Amino acid sequence: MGLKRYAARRVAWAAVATWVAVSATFVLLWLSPDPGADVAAAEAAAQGLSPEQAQERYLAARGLDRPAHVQYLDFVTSVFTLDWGWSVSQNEPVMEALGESWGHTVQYAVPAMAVSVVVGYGVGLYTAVNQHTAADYVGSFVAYVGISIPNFWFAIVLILVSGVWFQDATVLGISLEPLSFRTFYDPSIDTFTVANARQLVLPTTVLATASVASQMRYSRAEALEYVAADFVRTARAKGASGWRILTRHVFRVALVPLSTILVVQVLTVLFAGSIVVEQIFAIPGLGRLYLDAIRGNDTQLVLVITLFPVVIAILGNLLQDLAYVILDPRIDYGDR
Amino acid sequence: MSRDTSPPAVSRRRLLAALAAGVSISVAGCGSDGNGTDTGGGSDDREFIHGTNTGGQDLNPLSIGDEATEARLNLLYDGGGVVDDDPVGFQGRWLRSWELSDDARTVSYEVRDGLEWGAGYGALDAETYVWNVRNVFRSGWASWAQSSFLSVGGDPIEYERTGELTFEAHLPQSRANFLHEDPLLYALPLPKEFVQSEIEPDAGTTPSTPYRQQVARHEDIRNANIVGNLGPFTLESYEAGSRMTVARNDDYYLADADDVDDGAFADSPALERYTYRVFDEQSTAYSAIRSGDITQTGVEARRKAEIAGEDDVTVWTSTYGDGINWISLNHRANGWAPIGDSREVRQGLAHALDTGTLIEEIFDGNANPIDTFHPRWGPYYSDEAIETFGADTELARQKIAAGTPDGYEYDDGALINPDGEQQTLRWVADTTTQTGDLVTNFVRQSLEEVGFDVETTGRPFGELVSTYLRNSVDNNPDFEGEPDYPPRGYNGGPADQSVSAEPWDLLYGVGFSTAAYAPWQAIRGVMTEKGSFNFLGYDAGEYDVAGTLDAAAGASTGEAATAELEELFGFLSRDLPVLWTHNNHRIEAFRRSVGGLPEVRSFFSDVDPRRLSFTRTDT
Repeated sequence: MGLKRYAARRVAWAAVATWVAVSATFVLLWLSPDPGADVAAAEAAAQGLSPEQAQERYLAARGLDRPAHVQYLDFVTSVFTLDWGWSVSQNEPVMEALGESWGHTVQYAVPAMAVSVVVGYGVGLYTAVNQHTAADYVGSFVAYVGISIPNFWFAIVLILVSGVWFQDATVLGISLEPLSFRTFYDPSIDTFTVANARQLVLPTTVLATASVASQMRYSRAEALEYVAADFVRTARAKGASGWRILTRHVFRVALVPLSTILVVQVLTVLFAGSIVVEQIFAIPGLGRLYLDAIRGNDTQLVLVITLFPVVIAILGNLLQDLAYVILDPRIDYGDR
Repeated sequence: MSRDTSPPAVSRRRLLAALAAGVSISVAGCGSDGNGTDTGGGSDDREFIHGTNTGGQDLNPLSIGDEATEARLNLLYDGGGVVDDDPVGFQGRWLRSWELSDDARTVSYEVRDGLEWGAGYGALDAETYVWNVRNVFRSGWASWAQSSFLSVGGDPIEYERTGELTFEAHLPQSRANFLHEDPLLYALPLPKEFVQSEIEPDAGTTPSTPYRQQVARHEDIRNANIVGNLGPFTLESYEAGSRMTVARNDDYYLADADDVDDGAFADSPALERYTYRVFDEQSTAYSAIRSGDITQTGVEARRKAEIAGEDDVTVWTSTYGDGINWISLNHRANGWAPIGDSREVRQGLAHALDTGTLIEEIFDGNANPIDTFHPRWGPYYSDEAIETFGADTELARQKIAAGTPDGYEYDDGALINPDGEQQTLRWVADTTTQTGDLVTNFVRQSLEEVGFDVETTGRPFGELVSTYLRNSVDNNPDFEGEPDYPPRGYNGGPADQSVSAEPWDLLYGVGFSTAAYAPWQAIRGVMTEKGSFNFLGYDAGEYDVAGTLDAAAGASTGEAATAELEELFGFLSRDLPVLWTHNNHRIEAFRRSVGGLPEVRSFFSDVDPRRLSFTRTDT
């Protein structure tokens, strides 16, 4: 009963938070200067056309010539009726634009998340229980390098090395061509094919690298808190194996704070990392769509895409709160 | 106007006034098996991927207002005709013939027989053209971007149907060069039945969505169902910001036409599929051309040698770039006053810059120097009429000293102003590109050598336009009331009344189309006192720029137009409203397997997807 009431309250809060976030985004977009109209007018003038007409056309095409409250009410209504309107930057319904994009992002973002969680947590835990060993130092070094390398630079270097140089390079007479991957993403390649898997290797690697590094650092730090805890020593005294101690006693408790961080990580990967990765690898996914929408002052699309991280954050927080009960028996919602 | 970075990928055989130098990476690629190597199939069955860093707008034929959209629509619709490159003249497309009368007042058109719209919209004939002019191009609902070209000297051109396939245009005044400004060569009419049945602009009710948007959003436009046999390709998919794929149109009318360029288009297009891909990151496109994942890419001037050095890449260069670049000078009240007041000071600044070194060092020699609002290869360029100002630091100092008012003097190489301080020049540039940074450093050093302190500011292109180019009397605290003439576009009023939001003296990052064969509109916009794009605040004084342009545009013979324009370009070279710098080459990199690249014979020599083919298997 307590859990249901708690969940209901959280869902209600989620709705309010979503409305606040969307309204804030709308206001910020509305207040921000729109150089697009100026640029359109300038280009028209340079071609001997009417700059005033170009400017009016630009604003009218985006519905920006209407009063702010009309634009706002239109948007809020469309959110609740799921009629998300027309994307002027894509010249198609917003739902269609999203439908065409999300699949491309998921194809590399999900593997990147999986790799970063499995490898990051795995190495983090291992280095925690083997603190001050060579493996710990190597792990920490790799983590710092991963965090420090800018994604865009790493991506460009990977493309040059793997996409171009490996095509003709040989080492000890062995061709590196099999390690050569496409330089950019081709959305026309069928999803469940080896060719598609190969073209996803580089973007997945780039996206996972920084994420792996930070997961590794967090999990190592959390695990270190419990490695010498009383309940771990007790388990060890009772003869529990090293694996059991690590997975059942250390990792389970460490997962409580780690699951909190995980939501932030997912958002970072999906909506910050994906913009960089999709730009460099020419992936027509959500990150690129978002950037195109902002560049094109496509208010409708920007506002709808803004809903995604908001919903993910709110749902993620809800789920993680519920997961606490399972992960840590000391937490109970009965009194809340 | 656009950013000055690399040359545009625009069909120059068409007449749409192109912008100067939009960033563009045009990439045509071989098909790929997914691991970065070309498929080794037959010669013509591979996909041609054309990369660009600029996405198009919608596929509404009435929307063309930018190069990227024009290039995409050019794959679907031919338009009336193009300008041939050798000899320069009309080459038919939908229009079989184009003829200007001896008095340069009447144009006779003949529409090609057998042109059919898709989706059951019937034939494209003379009625289609005349009806579109009257009901679409000139209408308010369509907002056709080139509607102003349907007038000459402010008076409308009258169109009259004379037969099923023939019609005439009656010009209100003589236009010897009308071939180079005839909007019907590039205008893309809509099917009459489509407009009448699907859009109904005359229904009299206010639509919830503007008519122009109704066109753009209609299924037959979005999916290009109306193409019929009118274009070389049919649409497979279109995502405005990222890609467009088209497939060979087996019904293409030009494939059977033997009257165009000696049958050069027989069985065209040779390519089965053609794809535009948008690359936000130029280095990815360069890597892709090297690896064979793509086949064609536009190349920045300073990267030409590097890309050309690749084994499987060939570089096509046209020295007939249509974009000219300059360093803008602020003649308005918030600029350094001697710039606007003294031609001698402007000439001194020109002497301070070594444009030859700038072209060699920053553009790796892949640009032409310019001396006026016209390229050196242009039809109206005359060595005799043009005055040039070579790099000469001492002469620069002398002219600056002579042109500045009392109170200015040189002291130990520095120009000291009446306040006793070294004179500062405020330099603003679009530094979101590396080229902008390089030019900034070069110019700063040059100006410092002639005694100025230089304060540099970098801004994104959009901000450059809104903060420094746009001007208004509202920004001038020393002026109250209305400007002497109504604000238009980027000219908020006279130079002593209207100023930009932020002060500046020199600005780099905007380039302009020369429209070399019909330059009057571009020059009128920028170089006349009331021109809608005279953000400079330039006033030619006694010289009648507008009158000379009118005389040139309205000339009944080419010789008369040449005489007028040679005089004008000579004046602009001496008066230096801006510091002329360079005219980009157009550089495209292709995989070596691509055939059909044109020999560069004139400005109108251009890469045409209709003629491209794969000539051998890439390795």
